[in-house]
Amino acid sequence: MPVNGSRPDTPADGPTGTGPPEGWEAPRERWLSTVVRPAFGPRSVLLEVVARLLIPAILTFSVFLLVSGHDRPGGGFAGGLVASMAYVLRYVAGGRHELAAGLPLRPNTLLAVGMLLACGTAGAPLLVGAPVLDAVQYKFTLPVFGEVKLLSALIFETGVFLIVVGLVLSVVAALGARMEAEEQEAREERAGRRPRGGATAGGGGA
Amino acid sequence: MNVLLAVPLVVPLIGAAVTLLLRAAPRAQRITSTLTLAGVVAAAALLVARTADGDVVASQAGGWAAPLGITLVADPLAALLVLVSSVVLLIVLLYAIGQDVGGLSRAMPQVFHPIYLVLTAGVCLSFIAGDLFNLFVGFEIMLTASYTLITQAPTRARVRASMIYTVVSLTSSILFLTGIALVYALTGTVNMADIAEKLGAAPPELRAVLALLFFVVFGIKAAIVPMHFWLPDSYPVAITRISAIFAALLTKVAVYAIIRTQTLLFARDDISAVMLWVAIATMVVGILGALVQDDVNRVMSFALVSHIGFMIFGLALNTVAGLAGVVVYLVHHIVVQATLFLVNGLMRQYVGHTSLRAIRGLTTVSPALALFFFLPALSLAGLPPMSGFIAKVALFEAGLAAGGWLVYTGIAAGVLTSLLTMMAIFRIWTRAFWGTPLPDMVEAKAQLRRGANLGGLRFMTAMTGVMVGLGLVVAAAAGPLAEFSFVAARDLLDGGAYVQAVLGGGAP
Amino acid sequence: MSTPSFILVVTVAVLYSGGFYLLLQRSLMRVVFGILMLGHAANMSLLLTDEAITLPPLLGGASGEMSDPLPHAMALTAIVITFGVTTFLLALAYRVWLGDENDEVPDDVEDRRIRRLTEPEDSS
Repeated sequence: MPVNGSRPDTPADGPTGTGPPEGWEAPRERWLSTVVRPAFGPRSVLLEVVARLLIPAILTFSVFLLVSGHDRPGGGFAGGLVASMAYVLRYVAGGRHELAAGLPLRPNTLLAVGMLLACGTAGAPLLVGAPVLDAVQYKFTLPVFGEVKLLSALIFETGVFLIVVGLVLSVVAALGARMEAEEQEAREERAGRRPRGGATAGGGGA
Repeated sequence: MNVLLAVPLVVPLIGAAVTLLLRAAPRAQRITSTLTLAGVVAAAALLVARTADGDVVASQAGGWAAPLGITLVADPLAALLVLVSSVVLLIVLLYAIGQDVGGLSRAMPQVFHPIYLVLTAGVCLSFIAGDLFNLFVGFEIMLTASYTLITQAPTRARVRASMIYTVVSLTSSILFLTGIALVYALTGTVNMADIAEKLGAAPPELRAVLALLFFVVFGIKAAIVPMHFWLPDSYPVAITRISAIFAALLTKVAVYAIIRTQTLLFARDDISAVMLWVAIATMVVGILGALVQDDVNRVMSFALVSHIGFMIFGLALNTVAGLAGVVVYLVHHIVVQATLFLVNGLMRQYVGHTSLRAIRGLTTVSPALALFFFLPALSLAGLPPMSGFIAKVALFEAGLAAGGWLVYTGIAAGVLTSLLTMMAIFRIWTRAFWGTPLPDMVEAKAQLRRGANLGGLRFMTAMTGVMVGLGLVVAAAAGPLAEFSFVAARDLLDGGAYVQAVLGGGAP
Repeated sequence: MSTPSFILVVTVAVLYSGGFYLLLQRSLMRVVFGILMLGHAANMSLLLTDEAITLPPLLGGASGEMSDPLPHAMALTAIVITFGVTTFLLALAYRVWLGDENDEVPDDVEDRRIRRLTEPEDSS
């Protein structure tokens, strides 16, 4: 793949000719799943390789935190934060499209599903006359894992997990990609001295 | 009774999730939110029925016993406020739906519905929270939703206003958190019933300082006078439905929190003199501000500030009659304030703005609008047949019964404020409603007629009419309301039933 | 157990005073930093309520003693809230900057108008 990482508006650091050429650290192989346009600066082979290697591990760890959360440190919130860090890493290394490629659902949908899960679990005990947030637990033995304790609170925690991931991703989407586009727009507007109609929610393609 | 207490909290959140999923289907979104709020109204009505004879209903979330777990409590006051709030929320939602259907708003409905429902959950949680920290969480849910709502249809002015609003609210939230930390350090609990029992042993100076801290925290959010400056800068800038809900509910939630903390947690006489002074200042300064404004929305915002003073006055009296007056006043003011802001919104639809400098002869443009403005405005000023009159008389009578020169000063300030409110209202009336309409107003109305928006506009007008009707109902139902308010006030002053329901009953 | 460490108390004091100082600045960015610092201050004062804060919560140390878990839970909730609101505040500050190319809090237009009412009317 040709070197295409350098962005037109990247400021030239130092006089030309003295430093290494622009985009020298861009990888030649494909490490991430889309055409990469990083969020900040030029492409970096180090970042992409590390992202590729680390993301599965981070996601696995986040699930571990989620399930171990009931009586040990962890839980939905911590797990969700860790999982969203994986996606933030992916965004930093690969840009907006890379982030979108890695997501099964849109951030808002994630939020909604998470809220449904959490509130559904919180409200479900009401149907049988128990107070809100009441929890049930089942214990059973699985061949490999030994004794397993399954709590209805886990569903609640999964909801929290999804809410956190959805929230962080919408923050990344709103503060990262869309703002870049808006900033560009506003700058052009000011340059063109058009009358300002107020910086409304525009966004769209970068 | 578990179900009744949890419905106002859980159902709106589920509704919010569903509407978020349904962003692509506006019709389904509207139906979902309407049904959700209707459900909350029904549950709240049942709650009011249950607490009508002074019972306090409590529920422990997750089955953890009282001082440890999350407690939801509804005493008569909380139940009544949940009911009134949810009814107002429902009507304003229908108004907003009419506006959206008619294509008259620039707000994004797919964002509006979920956040509006989250706001509902926050408001309800604030009313029924049984511990200080949940009160904080309820406030935060409500405020976070409101931060987003105030920037609906963002213009530069709205972003500015939202910045002010957010920073001020956050500051008070952080003070709130500090207060919680201090109370926890002092008593080792955040459960309000538990604190009520344990704070009695604390040194009175410390208690007074804490009472003042909480008064300041909620005072910022209720916009009482030294801390009111942010409200007229932010509320009028938001779109109509939002400012209506903010004006009607958010400040009242804060007033409720003041009532709850000052009656239940702190020894009552500690800061009542301070509260009286603040109440007097709030009434007078607020209404003087309203008199010099040129924008109807800003006039109403200053009037809102001023009338918060009445509630603080009633609370400071610290008698059953005073608190009962506050309860009536809360109900009256929620309804009337929401109505007035909805009318302002209709005005904005007809004329395109709400500045008094360029409105004449609205009576000719829309007689219904004139009527809808006139009735709640008279109620706000406190003229005899209306609910405002009943509420004010209840407060003044309580004041006369309590006695003391400061209280008499407060009553004088209240009468003065009512007169000045009348003046502010007649200023709007003579400027905006009388006379011959300006040519561009006639033009604007003709244009509105030409667009195919009439159905939506009619629906909005109808909903405003329903709100006006609700105000009249409050006046007509003054007898039962007064009875209920005395029950609520007795529960508030006594506090025993509340503590008993939370701690004594344990997990049901 | 020992009382909360002196350093923690000093930190809380510095955070509060610094936070309020920044809050009163004109630049919105500083205001946001001020809010952040105040949030930290409040969270740390929550932790100050427990004398045994150096011990782990719930599980306890070797001796089986543990710190009170409730302040931790409350601080965590508060952190979540501050986190969410701060991102929103940042987005807002950014929006303001986008519109005006500066992030100063302006004078209130209405206030200026009212001030003009008190001046002699020679300009109009």
